Amino acid sequence: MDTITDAVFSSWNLDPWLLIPALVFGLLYARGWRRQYKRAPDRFGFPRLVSFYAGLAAVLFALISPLDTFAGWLLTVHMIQHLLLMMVAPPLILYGNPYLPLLAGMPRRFLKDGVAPFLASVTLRKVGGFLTHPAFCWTAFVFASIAWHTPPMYQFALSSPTWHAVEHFCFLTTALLFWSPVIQPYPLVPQMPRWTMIPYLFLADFQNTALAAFFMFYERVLYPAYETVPRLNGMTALEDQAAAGAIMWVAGSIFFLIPVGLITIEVLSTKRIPRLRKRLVPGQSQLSERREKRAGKQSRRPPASVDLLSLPLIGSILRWPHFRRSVQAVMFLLAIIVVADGLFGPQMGPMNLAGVLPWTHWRGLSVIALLAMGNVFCMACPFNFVRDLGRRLLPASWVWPRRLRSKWIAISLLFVFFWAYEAFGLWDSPSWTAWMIVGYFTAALIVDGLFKGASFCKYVCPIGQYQFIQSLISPVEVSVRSLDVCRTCKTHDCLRGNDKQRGCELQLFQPQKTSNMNCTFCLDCVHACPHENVSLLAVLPGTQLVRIEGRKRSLRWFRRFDGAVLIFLLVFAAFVNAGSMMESVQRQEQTLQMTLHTGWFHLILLVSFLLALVVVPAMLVAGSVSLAKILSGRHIRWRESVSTFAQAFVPLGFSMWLAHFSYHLVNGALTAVPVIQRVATSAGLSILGKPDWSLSASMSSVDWLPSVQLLVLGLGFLFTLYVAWRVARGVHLQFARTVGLVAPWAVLALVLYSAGVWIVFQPMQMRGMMMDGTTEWCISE
Amino acid sequence: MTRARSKRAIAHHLVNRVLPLVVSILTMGISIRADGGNVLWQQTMGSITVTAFTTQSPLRPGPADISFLVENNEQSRPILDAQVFVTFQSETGVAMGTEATHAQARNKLLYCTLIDLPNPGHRKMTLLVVHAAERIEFVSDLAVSEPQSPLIANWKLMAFPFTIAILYIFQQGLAWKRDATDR
Repeated sequence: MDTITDAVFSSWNLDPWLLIPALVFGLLYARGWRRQYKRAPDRFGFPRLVSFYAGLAAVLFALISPLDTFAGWLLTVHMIQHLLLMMVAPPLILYGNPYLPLLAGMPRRFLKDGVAPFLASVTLRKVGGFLTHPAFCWTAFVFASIAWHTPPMYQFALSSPTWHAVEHFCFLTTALLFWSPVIQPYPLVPQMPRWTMIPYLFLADFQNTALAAFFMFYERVLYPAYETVPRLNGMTALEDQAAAGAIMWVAGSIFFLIPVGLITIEVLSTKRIPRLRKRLVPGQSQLSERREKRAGKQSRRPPASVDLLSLPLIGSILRWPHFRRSVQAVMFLLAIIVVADGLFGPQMGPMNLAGVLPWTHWRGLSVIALLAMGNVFCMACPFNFVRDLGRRLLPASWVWPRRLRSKWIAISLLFVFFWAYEAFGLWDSPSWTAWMIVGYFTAALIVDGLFKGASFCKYVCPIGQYQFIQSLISPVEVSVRSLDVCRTCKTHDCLRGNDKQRGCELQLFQPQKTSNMNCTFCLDCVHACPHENVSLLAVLPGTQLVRIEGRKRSLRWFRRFDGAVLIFLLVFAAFVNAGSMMESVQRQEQTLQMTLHTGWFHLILLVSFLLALVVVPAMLVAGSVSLAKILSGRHIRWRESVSTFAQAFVPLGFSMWLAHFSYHLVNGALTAVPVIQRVATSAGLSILGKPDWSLSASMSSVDWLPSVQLLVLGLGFLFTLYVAWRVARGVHLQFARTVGLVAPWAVLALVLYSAGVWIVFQPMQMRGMMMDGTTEWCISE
Repeated sequence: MTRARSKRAIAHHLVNRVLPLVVSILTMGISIRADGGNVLWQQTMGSITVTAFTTQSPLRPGPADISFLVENNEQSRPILDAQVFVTFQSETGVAMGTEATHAQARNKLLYCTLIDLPNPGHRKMTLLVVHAAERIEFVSDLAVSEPQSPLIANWKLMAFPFTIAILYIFQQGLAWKRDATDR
């Protein structure tokens, strides 16, 4: 091959938007086909499998091969691409009887709860019947074929990749519909006699021939785009058009007439067995078969969750008795270095470990850890490490007062923290950050040095409350492997502990624990259980929020008003905290700071935070409750309604925290490098070299980040709607009233989501990073 | 739990939960670029003809790809062994230069360059084609339109939660009806 041919054949378009769906369909079909083959090998034989994958390959070849790359340059190539999409791939795919294997390949629960209602709907079956009627299929195919070949539509598709994709999608879907009555894939029912397929195909061929003849004999170039592109093979645009018409005529006619011949033989054959099929929709037969099967058998055992402690390497590390202590020691050491640098290092956020590590890296990494695993920060908590050491000296004999056994202290501290973060510019004040960490250590030491259990973690620690709430959407949960083992257990070591290992200091009894709330992932229960029945189990993210069926004693906190207030505070704080990063807000703050006395400035900020985190949320929530009462016609107590629906907002709040902190982490990932270099140099270690402050000022925003932030917010919004719906459904009302009950909460979620989207689009101040001028200042200093 | 059962559970988890999540995130998050597309201009200098293409029409601030087909007039064949350098000069005089290569192109007959257009306005685009002993310069104007509103630019991401929510409510309505009929 010469270099040009070589270049042409290497011009592939490996577009993930095409490859990933093809992969998904391929996997679903393979999974489903295996099951169907076991049940009906004659109907789902090996040729069907081959045919389906050949069809899928034809679609892929049409869309990712050099055919697609050069379709814009040569009409003949474009025509071959269209023939593959309309004549080759659809019959092959349909011959693979794809409906049942694709349905059977889906996860069972998704099929049952997600897809089955659509399949069972009488209205949708009527719509499906209409769409698969030969008259509609023929019309749709012919209309799509003619409409997209008219010069304005064709030119439009050539000028826009999106509309080009829409054109191909139209061709493929209408062709699948067109070939459906011809191939009759199981379990679709023929809606017209078999012989009618002969005129059906003849008429389609007539249309195809007419269009092809028009291409061949028209004396002007139909599509001007082909006149502007280079003519590489020496053919003029008109010759190219005529050649495309010839391909369409000959190849198209072959594809129409061969089935005509086969069907004619089939109709005339005396051996033809009448097809008596039960009227079915895809999936229905399978579902009924399963029901019958289940009736005779016991209920299916639920699939076991992935047990992290059983995994080869991770399991061994996590089960190691000194694992937590080691990680805590490392974090403690890091905290000491951060505090020392905060107190004695340069008092400029981007140049100090206390300005960079806690506010850019720790926050970002901990929120990602919550999404990827669980409450990892509490597991590695350095404050806990100190209080454990302090307990050797302090008595820890008092019982935490009953009146204080709530989240109100933590809620107050969280509010103070959010206010102080802005008022004192903690992100740019290393010494304040250092003192805050010292204060945290002292508080943990005093509270847990005087009181029994983990009172600090449960009732005081603001970071802990943040982690507890956000870990409700985490994919890992400390849970029991088998409830049967717990039923026979008399010692309850997971709660009470034993000679070797203390039990849960937060008083969580494993068999009754159904969420990550109040769980510090300390793994004390794991080590204490003599039956090795407690483990780290993988769950679908957010499952804990929708476990409302079993909500009794174990999920009692959901009913608590302080728990609901904590959730709403964290949700609204997510938006306020991110919103205060906006340049416009920062300018206002700076103006106030310059014109007002410090005390007045702090007071105004306090009032603003009271409005944003207390008054406005209270009004919005109260409005939602009142509206929900009116729309649902059901009297629900105010507190109960707030407490019940608060949990629905956890995903939305989490998504805003994730969008916000990931923004800092992605943009400022390298800011720690020069600071570590500076600290190392100050400590006499020149091995890391001189600080490269340019890394601190690398402020070019990442192009894909806003899209990811929007995606995260969208998922959080969706999940909030889902949980709210599940909560409302639990009230057992009629459908319309349930919609009425959930609608005001959905509107509140929409307001928050819109606020989040608006924040993402605003210009942001890059905290914890240096502006160009500042860098120069730092270097000259 | 036996080791085999644990393995099955991991496989089950991966297929049923992790894979769909990864696939959906990838499908939502990945944006691809494509060279070729609309013809920007075509110029002939000496024995060489250059056709410039861009996928976006019109060009807007942000990442964009511009690709070039370099042809030999006499033989009417693409030249694949040239070196192509592109310089963009803004109205304020700020210039940025880059090399267009086959490696960045999907269509391997083209030389493609990926550039980040910071703001709207007109730019002078200078193309230097070095082939054999020849150095030919092509100069043209490149117009970058005003940026799209972020809402329009991100309409797909904004529309997806609402689409799924509406579909879900519809599905729930059907499920509700089915349950009522069963009862």
